[in-house]
Amino acid sequence: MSTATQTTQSATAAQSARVAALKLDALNVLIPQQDVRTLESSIDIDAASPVRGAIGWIAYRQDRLPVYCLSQQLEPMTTIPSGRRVVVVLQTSTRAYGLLCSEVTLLDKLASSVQELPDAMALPGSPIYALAMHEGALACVSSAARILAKVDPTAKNNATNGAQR
Amino acid sequence: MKQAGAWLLTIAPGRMVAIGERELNHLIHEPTIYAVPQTPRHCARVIEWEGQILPVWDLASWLFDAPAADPIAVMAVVGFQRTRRERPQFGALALPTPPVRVLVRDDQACPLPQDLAGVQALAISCFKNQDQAVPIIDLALMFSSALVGGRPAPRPAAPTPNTGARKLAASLPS
Repeated sequence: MSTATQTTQSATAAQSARVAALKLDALNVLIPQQDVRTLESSIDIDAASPVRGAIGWIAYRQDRLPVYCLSQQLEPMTTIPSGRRVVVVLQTSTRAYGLLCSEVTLLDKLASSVQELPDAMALPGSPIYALAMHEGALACVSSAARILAKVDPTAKNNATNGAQR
Repeated sequence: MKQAGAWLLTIAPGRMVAIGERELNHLIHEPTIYAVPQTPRHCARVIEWEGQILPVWDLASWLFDAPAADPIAVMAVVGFQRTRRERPQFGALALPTPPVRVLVRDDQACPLPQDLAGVQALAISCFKNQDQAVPIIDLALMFSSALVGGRPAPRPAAPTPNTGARKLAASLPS
């Protein structure tokens, strides 16, 4: 199956699936709700000895998971911007991790259509694979696997660029 | 002598490119623009138009490494086809001023301007308009994934004055 076909199917899936709307400062990011395990408060972050690229750890069940922070340009950050209060725990097929957000809203359905990211904008390795209008603003559609590949490049092999949601 | 209609698009003072007469669909003045992170600098924004999210190509950024000034004065919604039978695709071009319509004849063909780095990758031919070389740009190529990586290395200058085997007027998409 071609990457383009898989991306089209992913955009269609994002349209019909329940999504989580993550706010990273002014940027809206939509993620399938099936990628979300739980929400935690940023107060619970343990900032001691984070792994490379992370800002700390958060306890989830019996584990300690790395917590990452992305700017509104979707670049990894190691300092925490003010206003980031929620850690969303995301799960790929192989790993769980935390992402520090300003707000997280769970939606039953997207009010507008999801469109594939235009060909002219699709940089290799981009965490974004589709776009949608959400509450009068643009939202970038991504997934736990694609975000993990951005914050932890060693996880790229598991994220298989372009093929995963 | 064959002639065809074209739209002159001003990119910067004294710098123009052209598209085919029927490639221009709509003009939007001071549109609402949304930035998309992790995208090429020349195509890093989108607009919403008739229920679609359209990529915005910034020619000033591509040609001069100087992004179009905010707010963008005019957004030209353009339509193009990669193949004749394909459903038209749409995109947008950020412009400082509204396009101007001209008629182009075959005998206006001229070489591409050599002082405009990056234009070779976009142009399908070029014509002289009031002593200025005006490249005709290939919208289907621009809005494909071919230029995502940025400007390719410059090619050697063409040895002949015309930039393609086709006649100039025929190179303007109709």
